[in-house]
Amino acid sequence: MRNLRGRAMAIGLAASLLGAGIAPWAHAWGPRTRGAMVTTAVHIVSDKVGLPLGDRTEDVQAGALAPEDKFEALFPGYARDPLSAIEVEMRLLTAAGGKVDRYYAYRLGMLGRLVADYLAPMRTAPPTFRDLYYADVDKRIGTVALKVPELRPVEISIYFSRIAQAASANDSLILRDYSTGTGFPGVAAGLLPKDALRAASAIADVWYTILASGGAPGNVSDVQLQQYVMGAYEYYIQNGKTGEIKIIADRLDALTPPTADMRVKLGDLLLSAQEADRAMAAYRDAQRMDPDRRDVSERMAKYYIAQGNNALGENRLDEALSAFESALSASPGEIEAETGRLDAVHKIEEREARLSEDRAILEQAAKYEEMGEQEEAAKRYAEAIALLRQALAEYNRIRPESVAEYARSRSAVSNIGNRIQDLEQSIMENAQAYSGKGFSLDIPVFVKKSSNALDRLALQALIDDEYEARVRALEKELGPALQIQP
Amino acid sequence: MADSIACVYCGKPMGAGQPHCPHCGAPASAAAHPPAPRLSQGKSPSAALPAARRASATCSACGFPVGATDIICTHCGVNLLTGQQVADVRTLPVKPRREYSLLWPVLAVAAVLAIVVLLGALFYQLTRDPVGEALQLAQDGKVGAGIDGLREYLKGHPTDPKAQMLLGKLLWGDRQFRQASDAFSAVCEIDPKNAEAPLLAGVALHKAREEDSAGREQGFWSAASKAAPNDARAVMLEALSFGVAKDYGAQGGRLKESVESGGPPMARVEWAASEALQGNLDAVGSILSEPESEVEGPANAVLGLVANLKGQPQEAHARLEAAVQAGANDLVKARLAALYLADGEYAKALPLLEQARAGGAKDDSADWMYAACLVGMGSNVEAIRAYDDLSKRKGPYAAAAALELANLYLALGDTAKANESVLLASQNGDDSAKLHTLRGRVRMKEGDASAAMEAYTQAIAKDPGYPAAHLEMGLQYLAQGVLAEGLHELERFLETGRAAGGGGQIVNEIELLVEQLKQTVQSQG
Repeated sequence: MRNLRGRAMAIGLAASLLGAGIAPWAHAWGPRTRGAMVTTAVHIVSDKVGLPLGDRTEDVQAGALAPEDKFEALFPGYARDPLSAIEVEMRLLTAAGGKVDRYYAYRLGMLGRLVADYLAPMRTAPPTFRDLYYADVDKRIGTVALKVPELRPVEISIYFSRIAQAASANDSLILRDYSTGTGFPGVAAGLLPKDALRAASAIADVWYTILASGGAPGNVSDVQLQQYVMGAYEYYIQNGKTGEIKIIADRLDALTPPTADMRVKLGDLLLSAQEADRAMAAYRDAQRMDPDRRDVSERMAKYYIAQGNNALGENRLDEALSAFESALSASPGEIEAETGRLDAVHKIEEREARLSEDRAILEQAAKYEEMGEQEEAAKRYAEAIALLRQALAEYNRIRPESVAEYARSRSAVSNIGNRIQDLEQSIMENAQAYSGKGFSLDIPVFVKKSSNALDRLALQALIDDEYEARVRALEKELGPALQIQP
Repeated sequence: MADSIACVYCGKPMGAGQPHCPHCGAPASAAAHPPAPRLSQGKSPSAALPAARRASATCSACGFPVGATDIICTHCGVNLLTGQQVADVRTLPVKPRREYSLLWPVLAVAAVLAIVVLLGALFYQLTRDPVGEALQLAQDGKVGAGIDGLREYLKGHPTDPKAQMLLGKLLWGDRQFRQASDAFSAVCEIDPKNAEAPLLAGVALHKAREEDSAGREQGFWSAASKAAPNDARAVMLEALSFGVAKDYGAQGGRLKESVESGGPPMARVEWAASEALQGNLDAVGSILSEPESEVEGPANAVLGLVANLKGQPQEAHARLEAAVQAGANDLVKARLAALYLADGEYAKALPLLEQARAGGAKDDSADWMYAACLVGMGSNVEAIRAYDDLSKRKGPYAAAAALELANLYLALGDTAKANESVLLASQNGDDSAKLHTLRGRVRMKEGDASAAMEAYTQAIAKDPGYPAAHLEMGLQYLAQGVLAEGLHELERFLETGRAAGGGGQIVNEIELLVEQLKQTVQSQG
């Protein structure tokens, strides 16, 4: 019961996921039908084989519903010779077997689709009726209970020839119904469960063969394996599963030794997925494998230069310098990198100069603050405020780019603001201390008023004193004349 | 002294070859034929001469020295033979005529006696030397007697220049300078060519210290310079006496002539001073462009004072400092002290004012400035003493001193004494803006804010340009929390303070306070 419900849910889920945006398919089952079939096969195989293929249902379905160009890229000419494609894929997946990772599941899905399409009735019918048939099946596949009885290993040459015949055995009847206007409700409807089950069973058998029954015999070329490996990386990257690459990297490298090309492609993929560090690592691997790969150096340099310019634009100078240096390391003599590096160096020097200036400003501001505190202690509040405002002005000159100094200045500004408020209050209260001091201005006024009189008095005194002195001198000189003599 | 003989009349020494005695005028031939001794009736010639009578005998009545052959004492007029006053003889009562035959002989004898007496007196008058006598008396320490004798003599002989001179000298020695001056003045009239007499007269008059004697002194100097035109002393004194009498034009004219004819260096300085006192300030610079080194001090004093009058304080500073260093008078020191005081340099002003006061500068302004210096230097207790003294002197600074006292008492917290001082100033006739401002401060200290404001308003009405009133009113508004009005008054304080020429600490402090209050107003939104 649990299995049935699960199967029904899986089918329903697959149908709903695939229900929207039905893309035109190429001469085979519709997407809902394919999805239902592979999903059924997933559950059957998971149950029978004991592999957690159910965890990969999504990937399997993605494979089954992959766009045509993907199929064409991986299986060139598969429409003309689907059986060969199936066989090649079986051998490849046998070679790549081991752990069912996402990509493996994806490829299983693709294989499942190949199998399902190969065993689809009306495959060779005129396209009009064929497409009508498949569309009708796609609408009704949800009503079909697919219960795969047993799993059998597949020997390709024998297995498919038999069941392919069975699949197309009623094509003429179905075609007749469609051409006469009966359509799906005729023979096709009655045959659908059997036809669907056939395909689903085939998919399950193929997978069973690969996963638990020794696989498909035959060699697989290095190119195929390399394509498989790159396909896996691409799949993970494009699906945002870059974090899992590390997990599968060793296994993929074990499938086939990585080449410089593979690393370059991997680097490109990672770069496009914004995984720059990993991309650079991949490029470096490529460089190690093939130091003459100029394109790799250029790629790396280009990336680092872009990083450096970006950082320069955002004033992240240290990062910019590091980026340009990395660019030069990747591609020595790169002019743009060197220009960028020099620019970064120059700007860093300017920044350092600004930092020194900010430190000096901070020091001066602290001095003003200290002087303000001294004035405050002496109750000279107006002077204290003036000095604190000077300190404030200095602190506000410090630039945010001098991070530590800026943080100190913000703290000081807040503190000073509060103190100034307190002092302003004190000023009002203590202004009365100035009472009585205005009279000190009276003295210069008095001096000015009496200035002329004092000057004239002094000049007169000069005359009087000189007169007095001369009279006394004369008296002294006349002394002998005053003697009384006979 | 072998050629010296004794005069038979006066007994004084005379030369053997001299025809007359230089002292009494008696002919020298009388020595060979001495006159017969005068006899009294019934007496023998040998008994006629009292045994005690010698050449150096003295009058029995007054003790005045008389000659051996003198009959009448020249000092008191007593008959040396009879011991009676000649007047006595004349005033003897006429006895009633007796009707006997002795009448005519008696009359004859009396007549003869009278004739003899008269002749004797005449002879005495012709032969005596009162000047010499006076001189002798003075030399013997009897200056008073000598003066009296001369005065007596001069009654009959007012035009005797020698006597007048001697009288003048004796009076001088007796410290009767005014009278001495008169005596010398008489000599000037008698003998205008005597160059010494007017000098003596002028000095004597000056020493008499009479008020307004400058004009008369001037007359003497003029006479002296006429008698001796080349005597620079007289020329300078005459010129300066004009200045003492405040006739600066005349002084300037005389001194200019003196300078142009090579007079003493000081003449140039005093000439410059007279020009300055006439208001010709620009002329002073050219007159004193190159003063002699010996008068550099006084020259700097004049130049400094003139610079003050011209409103050139820096030049005034430099010149007056140089003058004080060279030893200027007390008023020049006080003037320099005033400049220091105006600049707030109390430490520099104080010693100068102390010197000016100690030198006897009888000008209350020096005392006022001295007290202001003490305040500036924080010596409030001493300042209170100084102002208190001034306020009680009833001089021109009494009211001002009382107001300063009030301010000091307020600073010391003694509101009652401050109030008393304000009342004292008011009683001395002060009604200034300062008085009202201080009254306001007293009211404020007493807790009567509205009375304080009223007083400040009165002060400002009295003198809108008085800075302290605006300051106090502004502070009062602040105390009442009326910030805008307070700011307005404080700004008025700054305007009026600067306009009055005051900079200084309080202006700077209030400027800062105003700035802070404005920012407070802004930050309060």
